[in-house]
Amino acid sequence: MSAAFPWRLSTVFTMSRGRGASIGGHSVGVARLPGDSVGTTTVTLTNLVVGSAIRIEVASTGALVTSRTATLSSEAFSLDYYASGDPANDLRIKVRKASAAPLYKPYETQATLGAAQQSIFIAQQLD
Amino acid sequence: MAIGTDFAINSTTKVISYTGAAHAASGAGYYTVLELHRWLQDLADDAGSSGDDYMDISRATPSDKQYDTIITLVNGYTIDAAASEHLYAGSIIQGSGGTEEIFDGVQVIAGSGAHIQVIQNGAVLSNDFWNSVPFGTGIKGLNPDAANGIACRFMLKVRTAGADIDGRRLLLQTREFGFTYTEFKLNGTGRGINVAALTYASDLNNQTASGTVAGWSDVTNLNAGYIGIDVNADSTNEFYYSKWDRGSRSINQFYERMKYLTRRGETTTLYGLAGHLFRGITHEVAVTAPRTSTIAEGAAASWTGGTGQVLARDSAGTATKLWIQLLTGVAPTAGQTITVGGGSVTAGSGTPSTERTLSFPFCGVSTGSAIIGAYGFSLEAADLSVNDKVFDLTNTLRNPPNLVTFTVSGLVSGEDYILVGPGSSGALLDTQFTLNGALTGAAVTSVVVNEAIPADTPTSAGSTGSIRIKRANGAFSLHRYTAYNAGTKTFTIPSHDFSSNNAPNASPTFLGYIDVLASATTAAFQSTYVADRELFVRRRDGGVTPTRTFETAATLGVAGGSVAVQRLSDA
Repeated sequence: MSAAFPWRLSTVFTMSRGRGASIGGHSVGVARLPGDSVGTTTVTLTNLVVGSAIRIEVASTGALVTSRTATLSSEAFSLDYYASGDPANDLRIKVRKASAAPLYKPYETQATLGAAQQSIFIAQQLD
Repeated sequence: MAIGTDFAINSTTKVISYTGAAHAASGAGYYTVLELHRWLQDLADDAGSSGDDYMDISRATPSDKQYDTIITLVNGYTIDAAASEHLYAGSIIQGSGGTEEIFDGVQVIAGSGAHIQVIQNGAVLSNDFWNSVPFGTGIKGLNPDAANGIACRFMLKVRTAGADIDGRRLLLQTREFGFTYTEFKLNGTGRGINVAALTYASDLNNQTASGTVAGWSDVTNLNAGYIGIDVNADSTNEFYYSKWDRGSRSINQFYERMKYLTRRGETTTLYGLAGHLFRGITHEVAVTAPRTSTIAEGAAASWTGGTGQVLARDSAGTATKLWIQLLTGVAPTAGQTITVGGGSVTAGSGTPSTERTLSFPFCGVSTGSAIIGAYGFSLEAADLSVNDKVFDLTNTLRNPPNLVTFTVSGLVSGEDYILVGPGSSGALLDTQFTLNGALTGAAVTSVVVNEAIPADTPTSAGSTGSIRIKRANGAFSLHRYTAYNAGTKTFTIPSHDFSSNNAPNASPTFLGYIDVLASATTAAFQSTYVADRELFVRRRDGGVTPTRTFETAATLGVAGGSVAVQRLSDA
């Protein structure tokens, strides 16, 4: 993104949204767009069955946020979060383990991201 | 074959379909509902889908398991009809509300290779895929487990569009000619595995080739409906819903013919129902007014909550009882209007419907030489014998009388006169009866006696029997009685002039069981056996080649009796 100033030929390049830059005595503020994240938070899934497939997706769209296979009973995810009320903060967390015994019922839960870190207890049940 | 190679999941419709080989073809795959669930779940934890199985962790959970035998397809996933034919050992539930469907598991306990007919909603299911012969086995039945007596396992749809099909009732039956016929009712299947116990064993009384029995068309039903028959010969009719004539066939051949008429695939109708659907009377229904029009037999009936076929009613216009075969739903309850063709009647109060026990086949059981009849089923009296047992529409056992035959042999036709009369101590008992009143009229047709007329008296003299009456001159005149009334002790005889040489009151009188000039080498009479009866046999021939009189005592026993006469020249 760039901005041109007619009274003085200069160009400001934003380094990141929401941050200010001072060039040649001019202060320029750049506002964040509604869909831009406002930070990063950590979501930790605990009590996982090792080997479970984990998929975290946006609840409203199903868009993939991240996925992995649990190698430990506790898995931490560093996730961007957005302004309060942004639907992208509302996540669906899927945990499945049905390829190798012991087999578990699909487990799903939801979480809403915010600045605070979260720990989510995963209660998988044998299938 | 892995299940994944035989099934595919449509990503758009979410329909899980079977893509493998057809029934009976090499490679056809069959899987338990649990295996389906496991496969779906296995796919559902994959990071991405592949091939024709559009399932991975990004997609909604496809199935849920309450028990190993109850799988619910969720989030819009469904199986199609073809897929359902390749799954067994449990139930599949799919959809919800107005789209809910249920396939319930059925497990048949029967002899290996049994051909199973399933009747659902009053019709035999034509797509009997479960009777397929798995490739290379040569034995009917999908998913058998012979070691555990399981003939086949499969699933059937029992609920569609959110509504149970006939209350999820199923009727399974075996009707293979040459084998025992059985049926098992599932009066509302449950989720999981529904077990139906049937038998499929060779019927030793049904060993005639079906092609032969097919030709026995002289076996006919003389009356398909309510009919009185005096099976036990007590001069009072009992009532049945059939009156079969076995023609020239033995009672066991008759039994085979009945099986033939109701064997698998038989569509010739009995009482308006295809033979393979005919079961006999399932319910007796008390009915009352209001009535409209008349009630036909062999007609379809319906009421709220059920349908049936009227096999008999005790009156066309004022019926008080219907005997029906229930086809769908439940039997009529108090006050329900039962519509039959253009007429209707009203089910009685209280519990109007009485369930009746069925027999398999519908005629009853054959012992090989006798029949143990089903409820309400009978042949004409002349076609039954002492060892047969039938049950009338009151479910009362009726035994036919023991008709026995006494035969005299060794006769010369046209020469020997034979008399078989009552005996006593080796002599003719000519005082078997005494007249109750003198016979003096010019046209007497009734002969009243003082003594009881024995129950084993032939119903009429025919052309060879008689009643002999001692006349005033001491001779015994011959009268071929045409009937008798045991209650009034009266014989009916052809009109006879007793105005001269009359018969005084208390004159001796006796029966001539055989009283005729021989017209063949044998002469015989038939009567109902009650107890052993002593007989006296006399043969005389005083013609051109005279013989000495032959006399002997004989016994009419439980199996009848016979005498071979001697002919010694008296020249």
